[in-house]
Amino acid sequence: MNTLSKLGIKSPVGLTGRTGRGSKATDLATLLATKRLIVVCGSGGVGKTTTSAAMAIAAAQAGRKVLVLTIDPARRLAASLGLSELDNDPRRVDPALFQARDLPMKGELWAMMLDTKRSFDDAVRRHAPRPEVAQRVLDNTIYQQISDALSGTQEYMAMEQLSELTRDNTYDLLVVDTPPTQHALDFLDSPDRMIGVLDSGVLKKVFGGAAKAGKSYFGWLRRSTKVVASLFERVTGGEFFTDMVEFFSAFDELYEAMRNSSKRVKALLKGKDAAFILVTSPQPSHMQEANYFLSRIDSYGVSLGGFIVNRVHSLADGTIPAGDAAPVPDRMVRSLRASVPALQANQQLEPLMQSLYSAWQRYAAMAQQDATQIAQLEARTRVWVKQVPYFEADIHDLSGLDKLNGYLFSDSRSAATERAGS
Amino acid sequence: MIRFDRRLLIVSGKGGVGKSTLVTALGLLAAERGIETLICEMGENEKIAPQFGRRASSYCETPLGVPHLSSIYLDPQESFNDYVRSTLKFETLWRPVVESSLIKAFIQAGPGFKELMTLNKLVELERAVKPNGTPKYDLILLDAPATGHGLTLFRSPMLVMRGAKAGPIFQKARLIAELLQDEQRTRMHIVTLAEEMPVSETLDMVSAIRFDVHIPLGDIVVNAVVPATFAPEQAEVLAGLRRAAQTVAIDQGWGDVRLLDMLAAADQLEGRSRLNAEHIARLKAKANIDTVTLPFIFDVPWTLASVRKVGGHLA
Ligand SMILES: Nc1ncnc2c1ncn2[C@@H]1O[C@H](COP(=O)(O)OP(=O)(O)OP(=O)(O)O)[C@@H](O)[C@H]1O
Ligand SMILES: Nc1ncnc2c1ncn2[C@@H]1O[C@H](COP(=O)(O)OP(=O)(O)OP(=O)(O)O)[C@@H](O)[C@H]1O
Ligand SMILES: [Mg+2]
Ligand SMILES: [Mg+2]
Repeated sequence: MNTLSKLGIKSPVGLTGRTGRGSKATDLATLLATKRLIVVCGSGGVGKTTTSAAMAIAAAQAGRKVLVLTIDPARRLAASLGLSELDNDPRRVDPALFQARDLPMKGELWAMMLDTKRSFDDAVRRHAPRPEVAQRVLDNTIYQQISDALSGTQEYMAMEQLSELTRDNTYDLLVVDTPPTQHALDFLDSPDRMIGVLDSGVLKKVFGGAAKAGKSYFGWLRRSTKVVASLFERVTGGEFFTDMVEFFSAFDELYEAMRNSSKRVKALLKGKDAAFILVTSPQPSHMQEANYFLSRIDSYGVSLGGFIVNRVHSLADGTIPAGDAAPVPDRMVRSLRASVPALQANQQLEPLMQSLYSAWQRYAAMAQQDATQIAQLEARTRVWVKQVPYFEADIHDLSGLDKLNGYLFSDSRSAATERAGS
Repeated sequence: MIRFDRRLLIVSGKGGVGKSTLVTALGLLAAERGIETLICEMGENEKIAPQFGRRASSYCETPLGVPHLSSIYLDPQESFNDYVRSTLKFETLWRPVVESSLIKAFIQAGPGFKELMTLNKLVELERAVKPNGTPKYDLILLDAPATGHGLTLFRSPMLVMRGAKAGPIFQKARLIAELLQDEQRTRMHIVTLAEEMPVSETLDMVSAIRFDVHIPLGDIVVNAVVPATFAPEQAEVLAGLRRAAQTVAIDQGWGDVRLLDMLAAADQLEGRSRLNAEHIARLKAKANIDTVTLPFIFDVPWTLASVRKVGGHLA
């Protein structure tokens, strides 16, 4: 919040009218057919990378030229998209892969994996007014140590890539996966936070001046914040302090370009061509996060496309009444023996039904919890909420992603089949 | 089995795999045995103290209402203030530093700085003694932040030492590194789920810890492993039941739950159980480290009692 207002974004408090934008509830197929940018966010491990790939495939299959920007995909998933190395360049996914599986592909699918360190170096080169300035930053030992270690760097670089990739109209649609963060909205805050770290008002005042004072910056610094700085030096050790001063002043000439680039991305994210999709699992801790996201998203001024609840335990309805006093498995055994001759004398049936019944009970309890969680989310939002079941295996190939799409587009696909059938 | 033979036990791993659950379960187990235990939380917000119905402990060692068990939240800014106070000693000297917005910005911005300050507090807690000179805590459990950020945390002393080369902060960083790398005092356990991504990240983490961070590794704790539903010898009768469920009209004297749906639910769990087993095998083959498995606890909702059940499998 503070960072947002610092950067001149109007305070969003009380802007409930904004919900109007999300409330049109455009369905997923339409979003993918009309938007130019889809941002997929959510808590760690919920399935952001998987669903991003799946949605990108669906949009490409429908005829668009799509790029999916993935972040740390599982190796097998990357491999199945033909991404064998982390090279920070978009790669076309071979259409033959789709043909081989009898999957339609009317458009083009491109994919790339984010390389944080390389993206940071590229951004430094891009934003520096002169090559010497870039070199000074790239040579700085502190920069070298933090450029892929500082928390938030990955999010920030994803945004930088976004800014680059949207400079021209090479792609009809960009699907952007996001790194795991504590809060899904951290992704949106990341440029502010990152630039804020590198360019906090006080630091800028001190080190910006220091940079202009050239070689004598340390002397300049002493004069300007003499007491505190010298005490701080005593606390940390002089050389360390000098290195830090050098680090911040090296960045000095980059701030403006970085800020402009971040402004551009933010404008893009808030524009009518962009939509956010939140992926969550039905687990209470993840659902809490989804609710928090819902309560905050309006204040960011971005438009919410919908929710994907992934890894749902689903079960056909049904209850087992208390009935007579016999425990349920015993009743089941009795009835099975009566109606299935092959099982009549089977001694193994009892322990089997015990196991089956307790498995079903466990599963039913989880399915029940999931259903409650999803119903609560649905009651809170006007956008669509899609459910994807918990599959028995990881999703790591095109067939798996296609299966997932069967759930994401169940309505439009069945409509298409109906049309085809009639 | 996890032993309490080091004063500092670090629990690390990817987000949401069960780090806090393991830390809490270990804390309860140790406290039960009369081991004076302190749980240290980090990260965005405190979760463990509230589970015990306590207010957030916010940088104070807070008893959790269980004998021999307390927790603390290691706040980086507070840790830094502590550090400044102890280095500059006199209030007239430290107050301007602690209150300076420049310094605040520096703490936020300095690479590895926040992390280092938090670890500095950990070192102090590890060294804390009672008036009679014996250690205040027999066991300190650190609930480390999720893997990526976690490694940043443990690399911070090296990062700062490389940057500082000498001076007071260098000395602190060295003390921290010494504690983290001490075979006699420290162990790190890594928690994971038996799934593709968590296992891959765990394997990466193990090599980073071994070859770069050098914290003595304890076990890999594979959490929430779904047990097999059926025994292998039940395969035949199960097949018979499946056939019956498909073809024969069964008089279901047990309500409107279809046998087919029950089998589908069991199959889901069996699928996960099989997948878990595959990934445990992969982990064991590649990590060359002891593994401890903890079963999936089918509790809805999840409470402190569920955490105790997890602990039951550690004892
Ligand atoms: N519906 C599902 N059923 C079963 N497994 C799934 C499902 N969705 C995703 N997975 C598996 O879960 C794992 C995590 O998925 P994914 O990598 O997409 O999550 P993420 O949100 O991108 O994670 P991170 O936050 O770590 O980037 C993968 O191994 C994937 O195959
Ligand atoms: N053995 C288990 N069986 C079933 N569910 C479990 C088990 N362990 C943990 N969980 C579930 O996973 C959730 C997350 O666990 P926990 O908070 O311990 O993870 P964490 O690694 O500390 O997460 P974070 O990275 O967010 O701090 C718990 O709330 C619980 O619902
Ligand atoms: Mg991912
Ligand atoms: Mg935790």
